[in-house]
Amino acid sequence: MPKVLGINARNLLYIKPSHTRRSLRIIDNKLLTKKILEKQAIPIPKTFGFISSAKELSQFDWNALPSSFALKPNRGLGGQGILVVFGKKKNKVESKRFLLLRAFGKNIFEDAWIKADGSAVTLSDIKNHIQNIVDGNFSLGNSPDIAFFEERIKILKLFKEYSYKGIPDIRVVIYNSIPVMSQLRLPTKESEGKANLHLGAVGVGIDMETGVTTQAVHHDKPITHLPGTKLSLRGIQIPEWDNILKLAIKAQRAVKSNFLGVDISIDRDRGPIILELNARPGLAIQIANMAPLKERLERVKGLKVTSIKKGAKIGQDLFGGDLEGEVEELSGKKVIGFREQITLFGEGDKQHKTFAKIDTGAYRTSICRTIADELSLTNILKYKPARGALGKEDRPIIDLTFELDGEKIRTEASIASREHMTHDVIVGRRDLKRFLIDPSRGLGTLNGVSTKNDKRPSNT
Amino acid sequence: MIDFLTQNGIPQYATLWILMLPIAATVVVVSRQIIGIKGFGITMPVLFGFSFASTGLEMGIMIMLIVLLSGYLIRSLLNNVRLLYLPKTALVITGAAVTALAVSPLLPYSKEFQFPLAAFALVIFVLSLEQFYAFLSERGLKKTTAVTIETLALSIIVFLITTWELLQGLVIDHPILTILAVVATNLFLGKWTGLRLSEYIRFKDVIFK
Repeated sequence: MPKVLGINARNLLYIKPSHTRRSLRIIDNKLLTKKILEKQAIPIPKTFGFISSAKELSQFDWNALPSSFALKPNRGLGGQGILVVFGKKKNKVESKRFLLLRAFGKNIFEDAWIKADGSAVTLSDIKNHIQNIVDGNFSLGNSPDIAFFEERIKILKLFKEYSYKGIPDIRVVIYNSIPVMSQLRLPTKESEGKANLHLGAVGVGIDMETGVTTQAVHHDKPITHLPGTKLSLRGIQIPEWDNILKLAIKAQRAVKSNFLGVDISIDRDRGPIILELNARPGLAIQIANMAPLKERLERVKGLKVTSIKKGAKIGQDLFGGDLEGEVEELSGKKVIGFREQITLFGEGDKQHKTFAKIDTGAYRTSICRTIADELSLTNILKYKPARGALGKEDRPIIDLTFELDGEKIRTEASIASREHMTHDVIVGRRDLKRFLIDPSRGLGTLNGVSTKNDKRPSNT
Repeated sequence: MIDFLTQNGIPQYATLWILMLPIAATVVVVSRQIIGIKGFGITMPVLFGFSFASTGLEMGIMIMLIVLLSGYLIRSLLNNVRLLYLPKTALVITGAAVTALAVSPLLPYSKEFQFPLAAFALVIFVLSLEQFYAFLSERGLKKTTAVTIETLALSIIVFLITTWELLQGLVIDHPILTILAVVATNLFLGKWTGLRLSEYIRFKDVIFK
């Protein structure tokens, strides 16, 4: 049975041993977290100001606020108590207390801001909300709290059609300096523009290696399309993926916690920014990725991670590739690189193992004359004209059986003189009908030597 | 032990209820850690379960719902007036208490209804409103309703187990053994890292893919 992470195990095995009282104190305090991240030169949203008492509320300079901002409780939980406004209207909105004000001959209009859903929030609404935050109505354990104003992240064009009003963010779960799982969190109408899954936001699983989205979750149910639309959630490439992973590890190291959910947003101008840290990351991410988290955590437990770069690489290598498996499942075809190991079968029990170049430019599979001789493949069926690197020639055609990525294929192949070429065998498109080709793959080893920087002429 | 307590003026039913307390708490812990029923902490389900024992199950649920609903209505009314949190909560409690008193003559009393304990049950329901509304203002109506239903279910389980005569007999006969069993169970549960029953349902798509 897959090792799914439950709440009991998360709390006892991962949260408790991974935190000190100090790290929890930092993470549960957003302003303190920001201060510590800023010291490490980690990008965070700007803070415009904060209010920690009724007195400060009455003395606050409202004109110093920009027309768009996010108002947050310092020790808030799960996105509660966050108010985001998009624009300002000066003296436009009739005050709710206008009868009283009119009686005293005062201005009955007051300043207002516009919320995500288009409704207006007046200054007195905002003051009321701040009073609620300061009273501790949104904080952990209902203790008195601080309200602060924060820069509103500017949404990337790419994400616009996928999210309702709010800003999507990327949750990366980090353990032992290694990113183990991540999801893109898309705000919906139901979640009122917030990216919290339990409020109704959509979580989209991400392939750890490439940063491409896979499947998704909404209210703990697996989905493939954005609810209420025909937009597929599969295959979205998250920009700056490598940087996002590194940023998440940096943040984890800055607060000295071993298990953490890092929320990163991408600003149109500033790039990836750390929005928030979460000591108790939610577990629905496992449904978004259709992958058990406990299994991954156990795999990276105790690994020595010497650098941030290495941590990101380990996470990518260990937990990537889900996408490929999925593509294979969906298409019923296997994904291969441009270079693959191949086994050729000859007369009797004779076999030859080598690397083949996958070549969609060639129609027919072609093998080197020396291999044909070695395997006693001498029964020439016919001759066919072929246009090779050496001009037009007639090549002998033989009956050939080979195995590529576990698939056994019987075909007609031509014999050519390939002694001076990098690859003994090329596989042509006639025999590639059961495969999909990923040209970014196949830079592996050839005869034990890395060919990534191969200086030899790349003849086929 | 029970004999010693009885000889020194502590009635047997008092000892029984005090010993039932850790058992009731353990029942709540098992429901949370193994089954995954949420509920408002340990205190509320245990108090409710004990209250049901003094009022009878049906009457208890009826009173509880009346108190919660009247409290909710009063709070909604008060929301239109801007009031500080604590005075508002006190007003909600006042309103719920008055409503409970007003409807109490109409309730079909049964012989299970034991005064003065039943009056205390009412006090417990009314006082639970504070925690209930704190949750409501934080998490919203939908979530609160769900957790209230789960709390109610837990309370009923606590009620059924604590009023189970076989268990009551065991506790009275072997009080030390009871305590040891409770301690052992909780030590085990404290180290339990397995999936909760509710999580098998929540993650069924990942587990049984």
